[in-house]
Amino acid sequence: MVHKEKKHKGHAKAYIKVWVALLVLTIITVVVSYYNFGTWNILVAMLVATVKGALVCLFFMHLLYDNRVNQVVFVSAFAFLGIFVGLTASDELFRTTEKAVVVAQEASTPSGADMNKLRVASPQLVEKGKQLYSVQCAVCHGAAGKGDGPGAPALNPKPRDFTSGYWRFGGQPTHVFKTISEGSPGTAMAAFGTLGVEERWSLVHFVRSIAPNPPDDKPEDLAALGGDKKTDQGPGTMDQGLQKPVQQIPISFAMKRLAKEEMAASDVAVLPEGKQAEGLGEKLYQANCLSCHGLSGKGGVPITRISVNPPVYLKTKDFAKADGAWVNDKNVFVDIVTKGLPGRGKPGIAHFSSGEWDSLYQYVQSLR
Amino acid sequence: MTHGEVTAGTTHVVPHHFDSPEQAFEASKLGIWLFLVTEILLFGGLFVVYIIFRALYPEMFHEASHHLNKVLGGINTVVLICSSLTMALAVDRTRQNDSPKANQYMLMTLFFAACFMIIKYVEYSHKFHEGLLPGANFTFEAIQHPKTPLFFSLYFMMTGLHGIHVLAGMGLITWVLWRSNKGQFSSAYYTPVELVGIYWHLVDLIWIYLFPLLYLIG
Repeated sequence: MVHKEKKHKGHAKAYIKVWVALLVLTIITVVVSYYNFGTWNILVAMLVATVKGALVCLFFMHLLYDNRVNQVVFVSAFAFLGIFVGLTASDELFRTTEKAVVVAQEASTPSGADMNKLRVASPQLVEKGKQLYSVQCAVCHGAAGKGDGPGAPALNPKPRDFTSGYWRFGGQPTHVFKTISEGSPGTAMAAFGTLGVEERWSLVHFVRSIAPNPPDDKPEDLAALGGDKKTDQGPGTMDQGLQKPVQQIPISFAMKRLAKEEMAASDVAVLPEGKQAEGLGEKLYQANCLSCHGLSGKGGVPITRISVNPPVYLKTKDFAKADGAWVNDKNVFVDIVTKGLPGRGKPGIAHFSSGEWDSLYQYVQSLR
Repeated sequence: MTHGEVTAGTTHVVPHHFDSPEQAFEASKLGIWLFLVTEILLFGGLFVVYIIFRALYPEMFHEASHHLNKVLGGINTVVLICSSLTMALAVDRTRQNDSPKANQYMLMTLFFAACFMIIKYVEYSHKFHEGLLPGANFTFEAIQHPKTPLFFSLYFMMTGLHGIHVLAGMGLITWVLWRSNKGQFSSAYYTPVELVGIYWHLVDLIWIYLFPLLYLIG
């Protein structure tokens, strides 16, 4: 005897009953899909599918009459599938996604009228900022804002000393707000966009309260930050622009924006209009090197992002600070420019003629 | 039992490492069940991707699924259920030493499978025509959500992998039909028919889940 069921006269009748049941269940699941029961739709659909699947397994695949080992083996597949789904979902669905951050920010966004209030310093805001500062900022910037916190010695560049009166990105309230919200690329200053809008403004006012003569916002500051011509609505427009630094935008647009923001802090990496190259070396430099090394060879142009949060970039070096062998040896220079520096973001450039190499080398030397 | 004994009524030789035809049959069946486990986990990867992205973009899945043809999908579900029935009946008939009838059922199964593929072809060509294509090739403009190409990547990957399984099943059914036609199967030996049948039902089983997940969202 090969099979337990051989005793029976065949299963045709049972199969046809199962078939009818499967057809009825198919009709049910299609009909249900035309009505909107919210989450019940998916639950009903999966329940029906599972009943259908069970019928197919138990009768058509005769798992019902099969031996215990095969039953356990097949059911184990679903146990493994459960582990697969469960572990992936527990990671993926509980991450702080960009979406969640936007939602959190939207939830903490005051209305337009409140926004105007927040932009003006008040004793309450400064006090709130002071408390937040001691938790969020003092580790690096120091308890008194002198840039001498316990974390400072490890950092390069050093954290800002607010009492120095120097502001890298400007000390106007909107500028400080932007720096707090978006961080300072290339430094350890992270983006604190996850703090609520009110929290960030309170920090702005506290930091400005300990600085000597901080500048006030000018109309063009509001206009520039808002990216909008409606200067009369300045604060509201600008704040709306700042609230959602992580909303979804096309990658190409993001890259352009990123490049634009970065350039501000480094050498000019685009040829100003109307500027003409004077010699062959300058011409070659502008065509091949300018976009990364900058117009005056001061470098500082970010070429590779090596850390996301805080954003840290590998930047081109200032030629004047160069100490490599190429400084004194044209052959080394030619070699580096031809082959590039793999792993350091320096691409290899096409070969030039020997005369062109001479001019380019001379020009780069002249930038030092 | 001596090695290489010829079982009664067929030309099938039980491999010498088995004690009996029963043991050989059971071993083959354990093999196919293990294979089905790997199949479920193969599709499982796609199901995991589906679950994660549907959880992240529920409204996009909802909107995109309206661009699938519910009616054709439903017909295909019925077609596959019918093919499962005829395959189960074919196995049953073979076991009852009724090969001629079994061959007819297998031919019907092949017919249903071909219907399924033809309907799938109609659906696919319609999607191609509209630009409802996976990933970067997506050119359909009536859906606003930027992640919509993701749904169609999943749609084509899941139904495509399933379609490949249907084609493989058609090849296997043709093979057992050919052997059955030569009178190689009987109640004493019908392992290939049984195993191909089990595989074919799995193809049906997977479609039973794909249909509501892709076509019937909301």
